[in-house]
Amino acid sequence: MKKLLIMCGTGVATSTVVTGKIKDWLKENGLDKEVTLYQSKVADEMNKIDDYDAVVTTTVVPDKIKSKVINGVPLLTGIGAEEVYDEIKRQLS
Amino acid sequence: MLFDKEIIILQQENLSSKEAVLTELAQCFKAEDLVTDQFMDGVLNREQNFPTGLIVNDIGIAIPHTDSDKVKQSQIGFMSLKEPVAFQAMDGSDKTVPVRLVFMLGLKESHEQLDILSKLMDLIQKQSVLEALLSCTNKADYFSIIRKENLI
Repeated sequence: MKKLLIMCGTGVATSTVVTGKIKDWLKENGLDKEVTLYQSKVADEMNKIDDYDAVVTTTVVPDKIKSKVINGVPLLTGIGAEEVYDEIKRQLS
Repeated sequence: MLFDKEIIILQQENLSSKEAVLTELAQCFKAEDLVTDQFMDGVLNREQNFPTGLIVNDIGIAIPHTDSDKVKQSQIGFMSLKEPVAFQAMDGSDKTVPVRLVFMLGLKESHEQLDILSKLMDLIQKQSVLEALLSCTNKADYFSIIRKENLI
């Protein structure tokens, strides 16, 4: 089972929307049985990033973890969403 | 339910900073007793640390919010601005977004509201809807826009 984390600043609004979108996407691509989704806020995950196979964020993250996260804002605005899904897929495989 | 307190400020002028915009809207939430005393500071701090500016086809939108423990009753407030106000971009790119549409989210339990949040995010992807919101001058028109988008 792969682990995918979605995080935002508060863990209540944008990460909820992105989690919903990714859930649908996983289902459409037949990946929903292979991936467990986690939703959280940045502050709670700072030291646990490496526990996940892929991490999507909708907010600013500290520099030290910047290279390990995927910018999920395109999933909110729709602009560039496909590239984000491609990157998630790449990191999960 | 999320719109029943009618926190709707249209064609606002003379707010020169994002702090002024956030304060104005947060005061409306407080006046309706929808939030705790900590809500305003929470929104201001959150925006500072985790900005919420989005740009969609050249139209700047912000969706300020804070932790749900500062919310007593869920509600979504709206403000349109005659002149853009600078917010920081949500994606952490340090870019400034000239915002003219603000949806302030006061959310008690996000998971119950995934449906409405998703619809709100779908809404901001539609250029025609954003333009309608920008030119909207009365509450009746605002409600007809969000009704058409199935938010109410």
